[in-house]
Amino acid sequence: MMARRDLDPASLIPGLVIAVFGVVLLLDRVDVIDLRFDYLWPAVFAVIGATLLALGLNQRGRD
Amino acid sequence: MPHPDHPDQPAGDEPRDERDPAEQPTGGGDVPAPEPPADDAASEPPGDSAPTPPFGDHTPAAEPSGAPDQPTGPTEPLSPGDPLGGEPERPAPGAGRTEWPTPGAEADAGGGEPGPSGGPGDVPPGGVPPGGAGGWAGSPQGPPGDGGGAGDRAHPPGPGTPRRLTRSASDRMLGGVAGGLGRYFGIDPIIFRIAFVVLTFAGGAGIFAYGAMLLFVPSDDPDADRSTGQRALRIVGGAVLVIAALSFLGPGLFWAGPGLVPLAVLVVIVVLLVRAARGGQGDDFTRVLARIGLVLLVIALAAAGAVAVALGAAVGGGTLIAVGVIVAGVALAAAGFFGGARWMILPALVLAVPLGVVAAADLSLDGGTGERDYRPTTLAALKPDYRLGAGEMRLDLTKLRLPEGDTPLRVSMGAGHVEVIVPRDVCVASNVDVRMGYAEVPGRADGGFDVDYRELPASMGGNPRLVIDADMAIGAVEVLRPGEPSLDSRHGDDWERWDRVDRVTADENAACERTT
Repeated sequence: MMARRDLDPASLIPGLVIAVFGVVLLLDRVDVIDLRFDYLWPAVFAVIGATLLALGLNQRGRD
Repeated sequence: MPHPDHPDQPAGDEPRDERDPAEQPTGGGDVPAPEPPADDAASEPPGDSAPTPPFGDHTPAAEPSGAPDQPTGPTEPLSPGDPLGGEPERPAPGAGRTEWPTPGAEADAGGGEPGPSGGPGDVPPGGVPPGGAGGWAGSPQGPPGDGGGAGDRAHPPGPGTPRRLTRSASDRMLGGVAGGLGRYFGIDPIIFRIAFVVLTFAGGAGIFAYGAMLLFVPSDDPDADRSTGQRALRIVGGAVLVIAALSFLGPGLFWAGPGLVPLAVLVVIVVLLVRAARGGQGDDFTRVLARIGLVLLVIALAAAGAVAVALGAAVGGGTLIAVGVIVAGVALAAAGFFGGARWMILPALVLAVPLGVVAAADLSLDGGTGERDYRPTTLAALKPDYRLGAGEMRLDLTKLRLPEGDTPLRVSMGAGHVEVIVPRDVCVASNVDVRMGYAEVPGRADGGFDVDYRELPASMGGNPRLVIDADMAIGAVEVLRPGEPSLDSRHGDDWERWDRVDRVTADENAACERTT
């Protein structure tokens, strides 16, 4: 059970980035935009990079 | 009684040892050591903080660093105010680590490096310090102290000890790689930093070189080694973001491009396995194997989940999965306010990344799967639209007499191979969109991601013109003349088919007017 503790950026930042990425994917699936690999790879890199950065920069030391 | 490791140094020379020997701990060096970090303590057998011979005289952290005449035997634990002790709450680098070699423990615990108590930045090339409280790392002639890891305790480096390349814990911008190189070679580290940056922008080699050194070159600060995993994550994350930025700047700037994705996945798997193999101190071989097995199981489950998500998206569940990605992201972000739920990151990525690939490829398996072979001989038998979800489709038009003017033809496939054979007297105009794979039409061939081009030449001399609109998510589209080798016939020599990209000539579309 989750207890109320300090803010955990290693969950918050990846969560926000993944949520935004999900919105982009949803817009593609409903034909509002046309996602292409030219844009996907940077987006994937950004998602994974932000996640790793958040995990690495967090000093709480939980692994 | 002489010092075990320094027979020429009698124990009586230890100036600080003013206590009654009866009050002292047995074992010579069994001086209470500073509280080891929890993560280390947890992995050590009880009593490890008070090591016994053969390492007993080299107590962790208990010895002040630097002065050549410092004791090697029992000493008082450092008080917070000890001017030689460095940080009161934090054991002296290389000293507070009480990781005594045990069966199965890392042989290179602590990096086997001299303790950086004087700060690596203070140590000139060659490892000889300017003196003062530089720690024994800077005083190879002095007492061994406890700056190093287990290996150093067992074999204190002497004048003849070869230098070892280590990452600098103090002179660093990121991981101390350039600082360590500069110290090792006696060159200003800025030279190496510039070299890494230049190599990064000149093809990306700098990132790989830096990452490799970060992974394989130990730090001169065991405390820093403890957080190597987090720092590595930081570096990898930064590198990934740099790659993302470079990808936006245009093709050709970064040679590997999307090819880095499988490479990055491979690196992550290797890092996970290495970390699992290294594990905690004192683990036996069975536990190491169990950890590796667990990592492999998680990887396999993630891969299986990714395939399942991709298939689900390809058969029409993409919208639902996209909603799931949003929900997972929001839940993960919300959990960040309540202590976090990092375990959700991997499942969320397993949902998001495969769906992203399917979305970018526009992959749809509608239309069934299997092999299709069409050979229409009349115009009535020619369908305007051919669709296959996945598989192999061959459309042979050589027996078909096309009328003058344009004849539209649409071919689409989710994943697989499409081959259209067109008589030589028919001008071919094509609008090809291959998201990932290879496309070849008369006069043009290309491969890779987002292969997208329109070749719309006019017919010449009243020749019929076939206007092909081809869509392929993942695979190959070929519009060939009779007798031209297809990918199938070129199997077994993959390089040959890519060579063809350069050998395609406009003569293959001689029924059209030259557009050049």
